[in-house]
Amino acid sequence: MRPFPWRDAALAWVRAVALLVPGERRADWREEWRGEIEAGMGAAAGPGERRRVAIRAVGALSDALYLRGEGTTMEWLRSDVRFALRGLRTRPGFAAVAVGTLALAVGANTALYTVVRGVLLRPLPYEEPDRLVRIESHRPDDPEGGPVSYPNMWDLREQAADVFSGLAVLDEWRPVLTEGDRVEVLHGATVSADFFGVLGVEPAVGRFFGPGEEGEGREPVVVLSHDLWRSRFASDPGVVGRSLELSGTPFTVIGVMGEGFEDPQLHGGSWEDPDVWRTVWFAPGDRARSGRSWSAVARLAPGVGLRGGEARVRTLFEMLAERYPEDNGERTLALVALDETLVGEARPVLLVLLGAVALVLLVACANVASLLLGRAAERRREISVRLALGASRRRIVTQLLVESFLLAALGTVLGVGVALVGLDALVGLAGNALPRARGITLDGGVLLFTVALAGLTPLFFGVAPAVHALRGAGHEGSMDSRTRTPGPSGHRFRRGLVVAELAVSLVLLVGAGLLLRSLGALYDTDLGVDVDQAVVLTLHGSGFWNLEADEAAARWTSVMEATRAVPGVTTVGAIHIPPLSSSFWCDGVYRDDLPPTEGPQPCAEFRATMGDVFPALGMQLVRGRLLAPEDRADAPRAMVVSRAAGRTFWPDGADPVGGSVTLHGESFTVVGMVEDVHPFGPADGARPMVFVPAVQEPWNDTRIGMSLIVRGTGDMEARIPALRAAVASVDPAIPFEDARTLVSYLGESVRANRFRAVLLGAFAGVALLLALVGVAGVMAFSISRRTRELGIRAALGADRRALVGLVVREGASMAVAGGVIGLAGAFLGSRVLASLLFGVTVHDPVVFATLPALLIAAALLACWVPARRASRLDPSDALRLE
Amino acid sequence: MSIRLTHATAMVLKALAAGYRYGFDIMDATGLPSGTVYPVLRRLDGAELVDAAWEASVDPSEVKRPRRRLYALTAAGRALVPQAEARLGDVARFLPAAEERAAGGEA
Repeated sequence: MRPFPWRDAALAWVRAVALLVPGERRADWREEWRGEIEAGMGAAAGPGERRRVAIRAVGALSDALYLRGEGTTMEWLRSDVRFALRGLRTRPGFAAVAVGTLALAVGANTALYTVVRGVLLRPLPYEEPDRLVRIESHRPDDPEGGPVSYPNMWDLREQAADVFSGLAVLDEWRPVLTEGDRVEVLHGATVSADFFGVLGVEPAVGRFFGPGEEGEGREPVVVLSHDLWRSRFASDPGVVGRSLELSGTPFTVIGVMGEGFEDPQLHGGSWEDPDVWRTVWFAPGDRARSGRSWSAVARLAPGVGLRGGEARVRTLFEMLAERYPEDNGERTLALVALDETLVGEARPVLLVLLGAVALVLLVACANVASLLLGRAAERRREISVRLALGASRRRIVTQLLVESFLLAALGTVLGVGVALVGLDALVGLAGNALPRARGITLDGGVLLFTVALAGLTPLFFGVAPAVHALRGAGHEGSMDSRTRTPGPSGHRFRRGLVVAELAVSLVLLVGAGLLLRSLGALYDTDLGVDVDQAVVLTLHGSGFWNLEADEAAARWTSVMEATRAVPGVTTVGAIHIPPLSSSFWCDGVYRDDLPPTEGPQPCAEFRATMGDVFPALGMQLVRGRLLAPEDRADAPRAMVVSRAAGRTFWPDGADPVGGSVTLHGESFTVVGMVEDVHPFGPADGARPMVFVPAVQEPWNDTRIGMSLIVRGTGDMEARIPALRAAVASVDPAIPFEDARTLVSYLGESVRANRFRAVLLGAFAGVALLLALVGVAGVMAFSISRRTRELGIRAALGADRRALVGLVVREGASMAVAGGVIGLAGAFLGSRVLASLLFGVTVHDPVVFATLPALLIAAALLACWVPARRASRLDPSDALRLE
Repeated sequence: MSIRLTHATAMVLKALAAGYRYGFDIMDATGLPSGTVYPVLRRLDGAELVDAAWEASVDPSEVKRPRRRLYALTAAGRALVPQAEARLGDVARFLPAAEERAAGGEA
């Protein structure tokens, strides 16, 4: 066997590694290593020793790297940092703009990435969250999944044991906590006993519900939230075993939820994190199978996938539909991954915003690069002198990089501050439009992201200027006055950067414009109610439900009279679900003049009302009459329908007024029709609605919680304390669920739209500002470069306006180029917003016509300031400057 | 120019003081790998503690190998040897002098 050529291998290695050695030392270096290797090989007694010599050659790499690194040692760096700091101090304006730009961009990116990470990337804090699904009930005509009924889920829990290792249900509960004189309406949930077991969470203190603690005759027990435990019970572990009076029933506390528990937000709408959980207290047979007010969460059994599980559940549900066609006909079930139900809606918005903020970063980088290019160009003479005095190019590039790095470091430190402030503002602005916002913090991963951002940014914007500054600098004579200004290529590159900045800004502006127009369209939507000058006081049902029917009605009347007596109040009514809230109550409405039909029927949003609720809400009568005081409990039952209800239930065009329909098992005569109302806010359409006098409603009459709608003059928000006092004057024990203006309900219902419009608008504004700073910077630089030319022109008699025009023309060419490129980008890019728009198209002509014009106008304005300075040049000064 | 007297630097200084003059010989004497010895030599060279020169007494065409690079302590380098010895302490005692080795002390 031929021995391994250790000698050749070692020499080849040294030849290759030599490429790392700085050129001026390379030949000597290779010679030295060859000398040692040949000497070693010559003396080697056998292949073993030759191998030993070859292994020694490996160290040539360390040697080469050492020589390569020599010269960028700490001492150099230290002097570079000192030099850079001195340089920045002498140009505070430049330093402030560069650092401020970076801080804004790094801060905005860090804040938004924190949100994205907290909302989209952070795993749900449950055991094996990937296996958790929400069960939704679907109507064939509605793609949106909805709530489920308790009896159906009860049956499914037994039948689908092979699909789910656990299935739990939840419904809203608004209990009143009474402690001595103190009465407070809490947010709560009614759950099945295994709810926490299905999620896989642990209590902080005590225990969760056991299997026997659900259903008819169960002991009333509750689990407290960690927040309530801390705020009301000072985190006392002794709370377990205590009795709490909730809505008049004594409940025993059995446990406290663990800290950091995240509510799975199964219920949607106005759901708030629960303060207390209780278990279902009735038998499944006691509830209507058609009563779909429950949410269900299930854990897929091992080996069962989402789609496979869904197919099996649908088959099981078909059997339930056959057995109960009245309640389940034409319905089906769907399984949705829990994280999808939680953050699915927020995902596209956050991704769009993440893209936008990345573009802001890009603009910021381009801006700082442009600034540094300008600075490098100004320093070209200095660099030439240093090169002539023997400084190496590497040394000069290092120094320029150190300066960029220093700017980046300062920008990053400030940026973290911006991020902290921005994060707070962002979460506040988003409110409940942003799921999982509670758990958002600046964590290690995000900090790593920021540091990486800060590390890459100077590379991005520091290298180009550094290389640029060097190009050609050495070749030109340092004493040549023309070297004061850069070559045309450098300036062209800067202009290119500014054009890119303008283009990106326009893309963001168009996006923000489309979202703002959508927001405007939402606010302009005719809701069917007048949201101004009205407040909504929601009273909890516990103030009424233990009374006799006539007592409750009398109490409501007293409450309305008391509030009506508050100065400034003109009209008062009550409704059991106020408009623009996210609560719903869709019930079957059946015409009495038609034979009963098979299968599912359309439902109508039913509302029980009292007093002058229609004028208080500003609703308009179309035909017939409104509900009136004479529609007493013992009078013939009367109903007012909305136009949409008329269209839905009288598709034959017959006049609904005078018709007769059955609701809640009783027959009502339609006495009037009102204009359509959007019960859930402008983004959701008008729904069929029916209004009946609460005193005539057969199920609850007036023994329920309702919202007082109080209309008046002046600052109605300021009257809320007086209105509350008026209610308390009837009975101080009536608990309030809520008291705020009607317009704030509108604000809540468009909060998600406002969040994204404001945020994208802010990003676009920052990008535009940065781009304008870029334009002004380039123009100022361009003028200083053309001082001699402008001076000659002025000396030859060019007037001021001509000089300004000359400069502005250059700026205009950049603005137009940026506008055209940006317009094309916006035209292509705006479709990513399609799902977020309301009432405008992705290529809305108003937005696409006005914003480019705005951009160009702003850019010209940014040119005008330096241009005016140019026009004031004294020709003799200008010429002497050279 | 000052230099940080690391263990490796001290070993190399001591080897040079003991008369080892080629890079590979210094590696043999100190047991340090080439990736350590050479950067130390570069540093000592940069600090003017050693003089580097090409071997003059051989003709490459005659010995059929390139010239070797010779390192020798300068006056400043020699002044540093006591410090290096102090730094190394007892380890130094195990280092045989070059002459002993040439005489067949280590075989």
